[in-house]
Amino acid sequence: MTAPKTVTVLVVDDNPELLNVFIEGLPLAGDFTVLTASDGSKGLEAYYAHRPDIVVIDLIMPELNGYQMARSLRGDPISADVPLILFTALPQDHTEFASFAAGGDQFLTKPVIPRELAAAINQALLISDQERTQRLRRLAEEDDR
Amino acid sequence: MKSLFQVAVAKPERFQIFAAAQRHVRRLRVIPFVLAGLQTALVTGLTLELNTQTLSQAARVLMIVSWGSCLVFWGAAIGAQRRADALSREVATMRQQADLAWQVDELKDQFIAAVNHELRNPVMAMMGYLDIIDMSLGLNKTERLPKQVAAAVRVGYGMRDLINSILDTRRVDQSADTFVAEAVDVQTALETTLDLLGPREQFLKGHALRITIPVQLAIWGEPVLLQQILTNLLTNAVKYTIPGTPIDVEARAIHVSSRRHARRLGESGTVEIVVRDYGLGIPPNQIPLLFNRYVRLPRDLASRTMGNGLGLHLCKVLTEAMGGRIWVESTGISGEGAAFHVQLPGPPAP
Repeated sequence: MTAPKTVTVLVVDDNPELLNVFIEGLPLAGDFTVLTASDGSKGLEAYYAHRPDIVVIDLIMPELNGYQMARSLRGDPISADVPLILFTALPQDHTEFASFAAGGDQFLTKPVIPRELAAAINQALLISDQERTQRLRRLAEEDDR
Repeated sequence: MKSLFQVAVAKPERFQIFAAAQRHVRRLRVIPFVLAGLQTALVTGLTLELNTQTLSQAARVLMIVSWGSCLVFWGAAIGAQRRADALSREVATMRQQADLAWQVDELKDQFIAAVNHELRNPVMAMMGYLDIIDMSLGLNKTERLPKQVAAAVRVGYGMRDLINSILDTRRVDQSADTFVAEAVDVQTALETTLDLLGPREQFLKGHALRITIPVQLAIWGEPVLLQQILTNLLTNAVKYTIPGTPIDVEARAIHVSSRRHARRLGESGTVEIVVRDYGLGIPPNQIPLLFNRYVRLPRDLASRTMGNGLGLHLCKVLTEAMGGRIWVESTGISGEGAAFHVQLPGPPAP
């Protein structure tokens, strides 16, 4: 019997306090190794340096924001399939749609506690490419209506 | 800050009243001049047509009187013009004041959004650390701490709900009317609402819930909006009623007596839903403010009853978004409670 694989999570947020919460909290909530970055550019650097299993991105950040970072990852064949969770402290009418359109697999509204993020990560890891495409198509149809 | 143009596009009804006032002022300016002009033309025509030499004395007097009345008409027209100018200035001043008030309102909304945003991160950090403590204690439990941590977590969730409801209210205010209406079965909506509120006995806290809703009674609206209205009204009823008293939910199809309201609701008939409690009631002089944002009764501010003063405002916005109206009836006498009435359009005839 093989031991369950440790999931490497990259959390990108400009709030150091929240990064600290996830560094300490996620390993308690599951078998996670947590990497962090404080903005989108550093997040991309960290992604290519460590190739984590999943990336959690805050939408509003200095430099490269969450949407831009998600689009960059989705636009590169190397990172196009990595599961992405986007979250924000400023949800507006089209934020959720824009997050999925930028390539997110999950959308969360802050405050999010480590156990909730762990559950979302486990769920996002199960989403296949086909499901991702189908959901995007469905969202686009709903938005047209 | 939104420009006035953006406000005008988003909320055209705000500008209709000023457009109507300006039309009235234009009429006031033009009509007296047109009348004076017509009369002058008539009298001039008559003067040119008739040979004044052959006119009788009486006819001459009449002619002079006619010219005199022309002068009076022109004087009145000039007077009306001045009054119109004054009115026009008044309308412009009022419009400026209203514009300013609306801009302040927009600013206030943006301030709420900004505060909301700024609050979420610290609340998230606090809840995150509590979650870490809770998980750590789960590994190495002590006798006393978990209860306190659980209480702190509960308070954290309360803060999160408050932050969410403030933002929800702002978003609902801005976009409540963007939904596709459908027939919504009232009984089903109530059952779904009660299911979402958690275990029934726990939610009702020992109060009997007496439901009187005819089978297949439906409104024409949006299921989630109706559920939100029912959630707020039921939660309030449980919160403010006296222990041991029942809570009534009644619904019926009604005949609308007011023609104006009937026109607003269309020819599809109306459904009235009433949620009644037998609590302290609402003093009649405080009823008019009850559906405004952030309004709580002075009595409740000093009590242990929690609330943010947004629930009834949400009910009003959501009810009106579906083309209905909401009001409350209460004597303010303890034990007689309050009855919240929601009137919504029924489905159109097939």
